[in-house]
Amino acid sequence: MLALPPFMLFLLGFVMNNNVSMLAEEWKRPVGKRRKDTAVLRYVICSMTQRSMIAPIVWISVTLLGGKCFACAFSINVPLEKFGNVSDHRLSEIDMLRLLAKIPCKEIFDGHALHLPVVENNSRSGRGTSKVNMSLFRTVQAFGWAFLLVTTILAFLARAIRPCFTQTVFLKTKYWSHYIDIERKLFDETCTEHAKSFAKLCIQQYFEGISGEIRHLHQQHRPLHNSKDSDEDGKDEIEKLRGVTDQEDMNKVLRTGTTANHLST
Amino acid sequence: MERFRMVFQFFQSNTESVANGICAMLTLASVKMYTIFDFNCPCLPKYNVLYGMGVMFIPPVVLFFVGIIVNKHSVMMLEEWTRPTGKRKKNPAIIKFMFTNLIQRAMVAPVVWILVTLLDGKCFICAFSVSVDPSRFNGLPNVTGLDITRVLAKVSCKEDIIFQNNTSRKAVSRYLRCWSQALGWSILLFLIILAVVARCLKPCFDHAAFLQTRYWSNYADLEQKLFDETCSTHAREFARKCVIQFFESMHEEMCQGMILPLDEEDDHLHGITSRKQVNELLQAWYRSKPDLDVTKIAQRQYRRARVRVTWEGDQNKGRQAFKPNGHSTHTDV
Repeated sequence: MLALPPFMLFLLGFVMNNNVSMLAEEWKRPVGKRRKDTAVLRYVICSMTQRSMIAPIVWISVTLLGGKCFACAFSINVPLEKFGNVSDHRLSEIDMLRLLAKIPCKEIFDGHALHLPVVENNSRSGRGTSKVNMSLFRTVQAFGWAFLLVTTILAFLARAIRPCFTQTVFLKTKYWSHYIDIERKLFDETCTEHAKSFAKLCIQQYFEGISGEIRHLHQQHRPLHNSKDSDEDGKDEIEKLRGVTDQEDMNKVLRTGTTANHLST
Repeated sequence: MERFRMVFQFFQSNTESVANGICAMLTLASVKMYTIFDFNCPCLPKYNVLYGMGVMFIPPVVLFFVGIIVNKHSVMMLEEWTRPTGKRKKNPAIIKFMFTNLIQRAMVAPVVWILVTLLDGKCFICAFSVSVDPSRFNGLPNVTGLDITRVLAKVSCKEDIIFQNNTSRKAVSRYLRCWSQALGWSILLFLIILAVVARCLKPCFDHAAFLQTRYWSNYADLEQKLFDETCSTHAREFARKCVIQFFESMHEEMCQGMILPLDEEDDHLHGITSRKQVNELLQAWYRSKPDLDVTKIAQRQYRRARVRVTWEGDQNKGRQAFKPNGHSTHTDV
């Protein structure tokens, strides 16, 4: 409970960070015309690691300050001599260890076999618990606060000392790591715009091709009809129809469109 | 001008209000942490003082460092302190001003924790119960095998069996709580008076220098923000031109000798007009990213802009030369 969830939270922090894919791409790409800057990769890894470490540290601090984890893990290592006259018990070693392991479980622990002092009511939770349990809690809380203090001082030193060294390198790597991210986004945007224009022209080209065929057919059957209409109606509206003016022609267009896709303009 | 003023005011108020907001949140967090903290006094002579003082002083140290870490002004102050002088000389008053502001904001949460601890009294009772003079309190339990120090150490543990049917524990507890609360209220009163005096007397001491220092420290903060924003805009524009230059260079490579004139404003195709060309472009983007140099496209756009301005200028001159009444009004520019 103390090691596995923080590790999972750390990995989750990496997974949910958008920069992971950017980092992977930049690391694996061939050099080509643009040389790779390892300082940028290091900067991205450091900032991702810092952000991912927050959740595990909070988990560990809360677990230690709560005290239950360590109490569960280390109850068998409690020095019993501190808690009164426990030397005259008639238990074998295995039975003793089994009994000590039950200390955190208040419902099934019976301290009378070891003559351990019992406290009737815990001040916070109002439930009965043993002095041994509370001693473990205090030790664990002390560890928790010490861990929190050390982590905070390390974070403070890391933040305070950085401007004294390599500030120019830091500014450069910050700019270029932001640039790589923006360039990826803009390339995707440019490709999307390109795809839209491509599709528009492709469809336009297709309609022009098919309407040429249809106009040719129409002119063979009704040679004078269309020229008169195009003088009287709005020219824009007629042009949008691209010569497709009845149901049969439209069905033909749709049928041909689904069977033959031409990807060039 | 109006827009610039609005942006300036937004940034100025935003930095300070963000810092004040963080300070308030940390203060509330410290009060909440104290209320949910499970305080269990060890009730042993040597450990009571350690535990009590530890709970009173270690969390404030943590809160102090956290207050400094989350405040952006700490980094700003260090950068201003460590930067080379260059063309801008350093003003130690600005660094002192930033440092003072930083420490003031970072001290609020720890002081609140200590005050709450003292006003509540549990830590004080736990730490100093062994230091009480036992002769002041009648009726302390006389247990064989336990000296008076150990008995006094158990004052915080009301469940302990030696204090059953004995009211002296409550007397000692109340006495220590009284001292603790008196100390807490005195510290609070002292701090409030100090704050009032400092605020009232500040204008009496070189107010002009203070206004200048405050202005220039705000300026340094805004300048840093605007520099970051400008770099961000620059990176965006750089990336846009780099990508367009890449598209055009791929078009030149693919259609050697058949280059069509491209209209940059409307044409999103940039000359890439078939599936094969698109696939080659995407492969080339991965295999060989373009060099970080957009001089060519930037110069071309600059030349086009100059030509447009000159052409519009000539048009305007032409219009001025031929007015509707027929007289030509040639003006020298």
